[in-house]
Amino acid sequence: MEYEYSDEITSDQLFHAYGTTLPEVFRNAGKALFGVMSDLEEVKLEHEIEVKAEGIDEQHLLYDWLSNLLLEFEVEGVFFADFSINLIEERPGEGFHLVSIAKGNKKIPELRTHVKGVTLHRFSLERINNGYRATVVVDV
Amino acid sequence: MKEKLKQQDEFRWWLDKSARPRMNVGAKIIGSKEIINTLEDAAVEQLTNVATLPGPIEPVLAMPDAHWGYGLPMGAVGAFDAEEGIISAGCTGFDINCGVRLIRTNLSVEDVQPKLQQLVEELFNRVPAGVGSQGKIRLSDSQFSDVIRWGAKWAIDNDRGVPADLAHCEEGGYMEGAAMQAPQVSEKARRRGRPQLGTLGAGNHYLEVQKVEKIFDEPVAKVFGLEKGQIVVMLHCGSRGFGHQIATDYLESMAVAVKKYNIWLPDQQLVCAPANSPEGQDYYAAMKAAVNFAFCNRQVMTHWIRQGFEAVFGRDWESLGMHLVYDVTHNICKFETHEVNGLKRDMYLHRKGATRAFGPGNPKIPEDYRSVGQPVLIGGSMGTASYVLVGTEQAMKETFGSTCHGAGRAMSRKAAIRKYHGRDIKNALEAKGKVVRSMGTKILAEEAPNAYKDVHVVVDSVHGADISRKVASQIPLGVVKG
Repeated sequence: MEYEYSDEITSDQLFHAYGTTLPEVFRNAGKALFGVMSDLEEVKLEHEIEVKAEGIDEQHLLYDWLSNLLLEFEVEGVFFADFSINLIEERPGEGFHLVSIAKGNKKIPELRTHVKGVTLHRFSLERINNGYRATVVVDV
Repeated sequence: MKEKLKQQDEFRWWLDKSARPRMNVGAKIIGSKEIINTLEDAAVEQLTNVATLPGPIEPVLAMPDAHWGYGLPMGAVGAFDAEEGIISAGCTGFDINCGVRLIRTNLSVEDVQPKLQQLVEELFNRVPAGVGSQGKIRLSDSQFSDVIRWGAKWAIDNDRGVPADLAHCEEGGYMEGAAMQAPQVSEKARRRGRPQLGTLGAGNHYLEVQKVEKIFDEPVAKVFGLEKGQIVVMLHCGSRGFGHQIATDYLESMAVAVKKYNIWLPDQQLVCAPANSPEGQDYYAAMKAAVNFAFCNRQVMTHWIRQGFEAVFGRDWESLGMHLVYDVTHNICKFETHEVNGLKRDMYLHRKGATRAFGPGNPKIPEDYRSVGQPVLIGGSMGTASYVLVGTEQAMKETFGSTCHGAGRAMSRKAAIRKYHGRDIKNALEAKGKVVRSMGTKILAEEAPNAYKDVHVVVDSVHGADISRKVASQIPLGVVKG
């Protein structure tokens, strides 16, 4: 499973994303984030934007990256539906860096809701048996 | 946790600080038995979380519209001592200075009904809506700095309103001391905010043409310029992507600050910094920039709303009596001074889904309303009812001059999207003679009226507790939504 949604929080949206590798869990978390707003299958991948992120650890890196995706969505007007994570590295004394390509379309699909931001409520990136699980609550 | 609530009277419930370890103060919930019955246990737990932060001033408060959110529940107030306490980006949340303004007219239902379709269309075309919507205003970098410094005053100085509008905004339409540049206000926030000035956005934000349905308090309604059958316009929106980015930036930096200052958190979302620390004050200055953006945003849209009415009714807005009743913020952190146990105390008040409700005589209230108290604007769920309340002396004594903000969700957005179809919601509203315009119909589903608590029950609770009093209620005729 790439990701799943949970209804348990009344005003906001919780999701879990999974991956056997760090790039995979990031990619799936990105898809879950945009999947809150619309159906990803309807989006033709015609536009690409490079999105970078930084963080003191992998968890903060994920937070920064998801937040930057929302920023680029609003500023560049591209609705993203898939992602290539090209680089995740730890630089001594500087923390973690990420470089990705976000793919989507300038023709924004009809939205069922709008994500305002990624919250830190229950936010986690943990190792599970065969990979990683991210837990994210977004403010909608 | 709910079983530990002790009922104090018909509308007050107390949770002692012994309810769980690490609570520094007790918590109070305002609401009828019906409200408490539907309140999630998790929301009560979130109140107790806030009480564990350093330097709270008793009590942490939940209003009758409270519901489980992230960090602080929506519909809550957290007051922290200005010296010993904290400022929290997490408690304030993303939608900084989300608020409501009400514009009156001297038109009646009979004047508006025949032209309603045209009017709603006109407003929809003039006020850009939708996600990441690009505003009609092109700002240079230095003009954007002026917007976030001067708030609604920038709009007035640039011919989009009159000085009387400013007098009828909370804080006079801007907070002094806003940061404008990095490092406090990031380049990311400026980039995200600049194209969005003068946009309604999406989600729960809307613009409604309403009819005053009932008057509960004639003398106060008269002071606010409201009467039965009158047409008014309600605008509900906030600081858009600019505020969302400032919140995001400071959630990240305060996550570092809590480690530096060794603050224990029961929920990471409650990230904060000591009130008088550089991190706390940087956030406060950046938050003010977002507050000012939102005041300016609502003022700019007010200008277009007035122009829309002028185009439809062929008279200038002043002769249509389109004066601002008031503009309130219901999502903010503010430095305020309140009397607590006979002593004046300076505090940082986090109102997250809560409205200021200052009582009569307060110098912060515009002169023309000062004898009665400030108007409190309560937006109901889309297409249902809204209220105008008035602040009270009791709110000053009991709730740091605060009351509820709206109906409050009763069903998750996801559940609402699954259960309702936007098209059906639109049809149901139109069957009642209301005109609805939105960017798409899907987005209407999450705001289905049934996904919210009954606004009348919420308002009856704050009225019953006397932390604000009913003045008028309005029902919508036309709805514009992002």
